[in-house]
Amino acid sequence: MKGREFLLLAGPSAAAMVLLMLAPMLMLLGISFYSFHLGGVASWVGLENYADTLGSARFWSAVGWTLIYVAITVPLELALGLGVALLLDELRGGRGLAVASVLLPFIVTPVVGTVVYSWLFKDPWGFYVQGLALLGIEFDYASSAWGSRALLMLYRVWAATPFAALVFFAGLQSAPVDRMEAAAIDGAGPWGRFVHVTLPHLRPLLLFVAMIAVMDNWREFDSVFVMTHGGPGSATATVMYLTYSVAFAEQALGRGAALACLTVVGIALLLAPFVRSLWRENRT
Amino acid sequence: MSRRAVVAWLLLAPWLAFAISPLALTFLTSVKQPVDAFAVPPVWVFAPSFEAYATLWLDEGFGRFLVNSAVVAAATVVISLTLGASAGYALARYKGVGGFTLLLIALLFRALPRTAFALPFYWIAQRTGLYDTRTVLVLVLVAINQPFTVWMFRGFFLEIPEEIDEAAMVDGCTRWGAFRRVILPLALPGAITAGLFTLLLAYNEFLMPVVLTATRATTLPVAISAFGTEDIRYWTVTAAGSVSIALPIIAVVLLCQRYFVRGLTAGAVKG
Amino acid sequence: MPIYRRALLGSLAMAPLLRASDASAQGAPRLTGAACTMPRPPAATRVSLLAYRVASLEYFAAAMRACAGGTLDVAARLVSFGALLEQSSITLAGGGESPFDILHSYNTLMWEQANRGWLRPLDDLAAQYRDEYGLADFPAPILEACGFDGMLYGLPFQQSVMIGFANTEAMDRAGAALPKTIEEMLAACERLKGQFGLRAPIALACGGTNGIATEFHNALMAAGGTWLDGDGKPAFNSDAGRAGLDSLRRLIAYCPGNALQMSNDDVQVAMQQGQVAMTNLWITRAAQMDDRAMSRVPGKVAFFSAPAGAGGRPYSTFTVDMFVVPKGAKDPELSFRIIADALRADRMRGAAALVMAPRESIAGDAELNKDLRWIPAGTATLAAGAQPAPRVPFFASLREVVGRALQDGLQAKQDSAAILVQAEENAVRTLREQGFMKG
Repeated sequence: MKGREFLLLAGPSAAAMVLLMLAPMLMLLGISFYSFHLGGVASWVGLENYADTLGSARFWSAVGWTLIYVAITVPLELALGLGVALLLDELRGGRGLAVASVLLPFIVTPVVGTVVYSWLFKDPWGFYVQGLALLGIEFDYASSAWGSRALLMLYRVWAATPFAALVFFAGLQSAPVDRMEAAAIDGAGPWGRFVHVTLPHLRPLLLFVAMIAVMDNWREFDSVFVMTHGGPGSATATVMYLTYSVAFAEQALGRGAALACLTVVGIALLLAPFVRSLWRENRT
Repeated sequence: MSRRAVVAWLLLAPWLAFAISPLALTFLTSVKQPVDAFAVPPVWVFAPSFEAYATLWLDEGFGRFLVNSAVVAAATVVISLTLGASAGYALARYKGVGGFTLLLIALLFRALPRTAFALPFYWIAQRTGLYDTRTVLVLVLVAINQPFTVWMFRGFFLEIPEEIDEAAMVDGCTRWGAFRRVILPLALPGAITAGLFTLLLAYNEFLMPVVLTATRATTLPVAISAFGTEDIRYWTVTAAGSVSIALPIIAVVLLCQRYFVRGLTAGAVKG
Repeated sequence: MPIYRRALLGSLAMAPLLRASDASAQGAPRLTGAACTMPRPPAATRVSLLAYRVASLEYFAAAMRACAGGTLDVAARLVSFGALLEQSSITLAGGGESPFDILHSYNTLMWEQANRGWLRPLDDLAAQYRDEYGLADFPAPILEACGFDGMLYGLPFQQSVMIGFANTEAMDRAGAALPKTIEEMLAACERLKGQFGLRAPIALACGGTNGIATEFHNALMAAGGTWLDGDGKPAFNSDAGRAGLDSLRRLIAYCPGNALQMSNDDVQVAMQQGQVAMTNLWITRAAQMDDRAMSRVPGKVAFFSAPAGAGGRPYSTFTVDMFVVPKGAKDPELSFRIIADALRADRMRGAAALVMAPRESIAGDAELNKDLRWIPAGTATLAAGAQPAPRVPFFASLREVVGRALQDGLQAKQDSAAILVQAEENAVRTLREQGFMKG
């Protein structure tokens, strides 16, 4: 494709993004160099907000927990999403209903989805808690740090896997049937066809979904805010929850902005391998 | 039904149970009285009451919030897809540094926390007189979802071999013609999926409508979230709200499912 | 799948019928008192209210809407608590003409807003309309809570205080009497421990930084402590602070295992379902104990004055909710009159069961209050000296950072002295950062 065609096709979208988002981004960056409270006077503090954040144990414990959260939920979302997509692809009758059912968790708006999901695990009346009790398992998520963490991860997998599943499922619809057939003729079994034809075909989508999942899970906020308030103690405070606590609850907007910028830096670091492979892909 | 399909259904069943049960139980909560909804052991025999739905739709007039949500979501989808599909196609095919840069910029924008936009957007909306209009919601939602839309379209277009574009252009199509008449139809399942998720993101967005609307352009999630807090009198209404808000989308998904058809590309590559 | 689609459309078509099948739907609140007679503004005007959604605010929002007519339109936006804080601070900080003409606020939040110069002082309007709307009927301590720096910024629609709740059946079975002090409450918990069917003797809403900070406020006040000294410096890390925190910990030991994550709602449900025998909770939640649609224990819950601590004051918090007018409101006088009209004595009577009314004529009306069993407990707790938060514009952030130290420390089972040292360190830092403390 020629540069001029690229500009014509991508220009409007680029303009829409830059016009509305550049100013807020620069503003965020700017505030991060000030000590600033709503209604107060801002004073320049240089890199102090950053030094302060990077030197606090609270920040690093939030980073640690958020990394664990990402490392567990993202692979689960991808693997389960792919599995569900492959199964959906096998269906003939009832596909529409199955697709709608799979998508259901993603359909419910997170502001109420988090609330109703937390009900399932409320001790002692939550449906799941009572169900587990029948099996002789006592689960009171709220009384331990790992219980609360497990609940948050379970919610995330429930809420976000449908996205992965549906994107992969749509991707499978354009799978190269001829190459499948060729592989089958060459004697490749189902596993061989999956590894050598399906996976490479889905690669751009796998990359896309993985990137979105890393980004969104690294910034998880809603479920923490609704289900655990970062507790017990600060055990479930993710980096975004910490940012919210600092910027809004403690009203230190400057330090909050620095935290938000560090969150973006964190995403950049986590996505570095993706960006590198993107660069290589783009060069070939 | 073939053996394969039966096995697939059986394997899918546990996941479907995991996915659906929270909403099914929420529906039960929505037709119970609060006294039964939080009982131990659970109350299974009860006289269903649709009071919560009546409160939402009749007393609170949720119809007008649904209209706002529908108009905003539909307009956002149309504009997002128009901008996003062509940009996604360009990014899938263009090899220059500009393409890589734009992808990175989109990624950076996507990485910004939503709350960073709240105050600047409010300020702009208030000064341009667009505050509390559907227009401002559409503009903002198109912009903040554009990175997602563009990246997603790029993924779907990358799946389609470039030889097809070239074949079409050899047959006399311009680049635009090849995109519109050949590539876009081939990527229909992907385009529908991108449209669906753009729709969902716009329809479910919470923070922007909280900040940018007052009483005229309020959308459904904002209206429903008001019931979810601090007063269990409203919990059954919250449950009814989460069921109600899902129904229109389920209808859309069922309408869209016919476009998830396999094998459209097969003949094309050969031809 | 045409079949699914048809079934779906069919179920949607049924929706209008649902109402007919159910005669007991809640409907709009019924207002008492005379109709609103507001002079109409010369040009078409829309007055908008932003408030948190609870039963009492539904009532007062309806009362305000009753003033609409002719050129005057009144619209209300009722939202979740988080959305109220978010939107009120953004619209106030944004400056210019405010999209809302009336905001719901409460004592600690209002002090913060007033200190930033975001609100319109109401002294002149209150003086002008004093007689027309019977404003002299609001008791002085309540109006004082609606003021900051010597100026009046809000008109109160409800006062609230935390009181004791007890399930009389469980108490009788355990042979426990209604406690008058924290020590008696602990003794009652000991008797209730292990009672059949109870999950725990007592529940307290310690969840989040906010919840635990409120409980600490109660304990600190009951132990005779204070948040700040005369110079506005943190003073809660004291003997009284440590004693208060110790008594709170002894109470938490009798709470369910998830005490550190229980919200007011969770506690209310636990009480209504008979899972706990006692709590110390907001009086605004008392009426719901008798509501058969929600409660398994209607008529079985007794209310008592919040238990006294070693310092003599009750284990309680006192708050005032009010309506305020943003500085950028289109027509402050119109906003004020709509607020004042909704809070007229004859209007407020209709909300008597929903709020602890801040008007003397209603609080003192024995006939009106005879069915409201919880009112005497509330009045007694107030008389015993239930304390509001200190009147400083930084209390919300102070509560946040102290609450965090408490959450972290209690979870890590640190001793009370260490927790309070950390809390004080957090507080000093925040106050310095915000310029409220020098040095």
